[in-house]
Amino acid sequence: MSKEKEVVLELDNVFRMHGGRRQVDHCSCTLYAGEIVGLVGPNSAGKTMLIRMILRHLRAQEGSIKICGEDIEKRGPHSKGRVSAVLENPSYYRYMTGLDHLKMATRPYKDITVEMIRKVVDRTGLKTCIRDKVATYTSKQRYMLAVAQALVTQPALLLLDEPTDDLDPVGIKNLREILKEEAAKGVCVVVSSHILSEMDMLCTRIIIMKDGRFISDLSSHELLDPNRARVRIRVGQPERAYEVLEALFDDTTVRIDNDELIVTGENLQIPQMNRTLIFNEVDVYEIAVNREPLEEYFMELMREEE
Amino acid sequence: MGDLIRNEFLKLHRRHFFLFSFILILLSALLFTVVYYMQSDTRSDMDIVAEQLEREKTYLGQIETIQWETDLEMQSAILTSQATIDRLQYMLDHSIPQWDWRSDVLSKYYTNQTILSLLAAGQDPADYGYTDLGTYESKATLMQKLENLRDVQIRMVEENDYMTYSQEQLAQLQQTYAEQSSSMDTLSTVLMDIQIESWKLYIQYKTAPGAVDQWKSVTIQELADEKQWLARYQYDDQAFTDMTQEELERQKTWVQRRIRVNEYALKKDQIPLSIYDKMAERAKTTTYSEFVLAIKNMMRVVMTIAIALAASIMADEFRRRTIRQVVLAPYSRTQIAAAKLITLLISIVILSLLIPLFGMVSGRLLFSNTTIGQSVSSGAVPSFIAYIHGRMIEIPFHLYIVIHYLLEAFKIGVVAIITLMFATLTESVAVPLLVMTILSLAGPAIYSTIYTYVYPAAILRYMLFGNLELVQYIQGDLIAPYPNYITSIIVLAVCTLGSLALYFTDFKYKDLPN
Repeated sequence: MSKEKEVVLELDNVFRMHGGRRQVDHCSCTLYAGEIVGLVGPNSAGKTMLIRMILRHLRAQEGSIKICGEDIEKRGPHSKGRVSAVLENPSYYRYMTGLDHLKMATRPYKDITVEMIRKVVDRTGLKTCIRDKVATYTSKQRYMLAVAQALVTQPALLLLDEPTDDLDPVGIKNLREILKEEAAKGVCVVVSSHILSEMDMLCTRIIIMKDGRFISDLSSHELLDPNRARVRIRVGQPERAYEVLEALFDDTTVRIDNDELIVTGENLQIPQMNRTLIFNEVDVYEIAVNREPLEEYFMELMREEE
Repeated sequence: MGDLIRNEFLKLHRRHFFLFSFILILLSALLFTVVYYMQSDTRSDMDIVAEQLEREKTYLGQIETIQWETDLEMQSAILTSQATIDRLQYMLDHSIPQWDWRSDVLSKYYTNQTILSLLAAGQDPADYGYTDLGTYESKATLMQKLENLRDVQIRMVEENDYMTYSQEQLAQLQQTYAEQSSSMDTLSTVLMDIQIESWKLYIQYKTAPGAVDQWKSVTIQELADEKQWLARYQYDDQAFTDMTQEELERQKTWVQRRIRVNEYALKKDQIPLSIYDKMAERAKTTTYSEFVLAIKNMMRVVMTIAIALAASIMADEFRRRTIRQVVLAPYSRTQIAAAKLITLLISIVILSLLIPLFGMVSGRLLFSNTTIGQSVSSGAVPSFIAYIHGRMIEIPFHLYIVIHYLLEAFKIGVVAIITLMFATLTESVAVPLLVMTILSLAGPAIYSTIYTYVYPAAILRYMLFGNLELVQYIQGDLIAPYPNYITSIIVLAVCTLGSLALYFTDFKYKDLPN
């Protein structure tokens, strides 16, 4: 088996109920080395809960979580794969320096060298302030310190919860590059975020959660299937246009969204659609191929779930 | 897990925990030492005699300015004062301290001298208040008797011949006993028996009576006092009407134990710490041992610091939400909790060492130059001796100090464990800190105001950390008799182990904050 196909995280029927609500409802999946997995879903879908359970912040009431084949409860300093995380609103010891934080993070691992720490500091742009107390850091520096803490332990699994909240566009781009580099090195990266466009750009695999369940698990490749397109057509007479297009293709799905028609299907013939609409005296103002497949897919999925 | 402990110490170091704690503890200890030194009477024995002499001379100089009812009364006061001045001058010239048995003999000597002067001047000593002169045939025989007595007295003083003095006292007592025992009640007979026994012991152990610088003398005196107390308890119904039955029983047990300890000490030729302290008290001096044990009060500062550390070491991680990062370390939650506990206990041990070390150094510097203190320096080190549960316990002084402070550190450790558990359960720093500080500082003060030893009120003493005063278990003098000795220790163990179990279990299964 190639390195990219090494199993890093295995969730088997993981379940947790709290306050009468199923926070994580029998979720199962297998994540591999080198993947960047996006965990998306509406609020209270269970994304953060799942990440916290993988990090042992919360306990699974049923099922098992394994990292590199080892149960998370039995993990120690000599376990095969390491786990690190960048949590939402990371917290620090304000009276300690950035370097102290990195020292504390790496102390259990004897294979981490000073050179490795130095590289991570350089990569996260903390070189000038690493010996300063965290209390003096800007919010961006603090976030990058959390990233440095996560990277410095050379993890096999890296989890990020809402990573872009504390960063400016430059910081987001930098982080995206870092995560892609880590994935290229064989790290399995799991990112939970609301920002679907960002996930679109970053992830190689998307898992969508709702009400604690996994409702979809597909690769970005599948998401961007060139044969399966979504077209938005802004028209003057939507009801009439709907009847025309419904009759035109058998294997397409057409629905009305205000003054727009959304047509989904394989091998959509856009010129033919345009001609037919005009022939049937429908005013066509705009035809656009959807450029945000994830968002579209996500919204569609949510509608179906409802 | 060593890595986790090192991380915990790094956090403490970066917060300057040890620096601030050391400064706080040493400043407190220094303040205590200064106050103790200023309060204690560190004058030498002869300084005290010289001061008394000056005071008496001043009094004599002003005696005529005082309103006296009669001239004779004034003359009597002048004679008494002059005799005192002569005695003190002699003591000063011959380096005899106030507490020395010779002081008593000299007092009698100068009284006789005064009476002889009055007789020689044709005065009646009775006019000047000297009425207890016994029977005599004539003025000449009285003078002869007094002169003989005076000669014997001064010879005893000059030769420091306390054996003759003791033998004379014994003979005198035995004679009185023989003459009066038939007419005496049981209590008086027993009391006199005890006195005779004491004089026999002074002679047997070749020690000067009333000498506060001779431990055997003090021990014999203590023994006599304790036996007299028991005699009164047994034969005098009206002796202790101000005490409750429980208090009396408690006192009786205590006195009986003291008697055993003092008899054991004399037999074993080993000075007990209690007698040593008594000697220091009588000699109006502060000793090294007294100071080293007294500065233990400053362990309250260590206790407060330990409570603050225990309240924050875990709960502060929850408050700052850094606990989320801490559990990312590749260790189980039990190991993480254990690392914090071990860090806390090691810190307590380090901080607890400061007070006794400071006490030993400053005690040597400030309180080793007194008469009693010098005897310690020269090797006459006392031992802690106690009679507990039918067994005699003897612990050398320095080991006793070590045990004393170890028990104090253990006590602080137990309080810290309870605080740690409380803070982990509540995830709060302020509440456990406040509650435990108040309880630990005010608890002993409150239970000391609860005089009752009767169940269930006495239980309150334990609830207010009474059973944490661990020294009571080696001293055998329980703060409250209920629950009994074993129950008290079991309750303490259950509380400690229960707190530990709660702490570990709660942290192991606790959901962490987001």
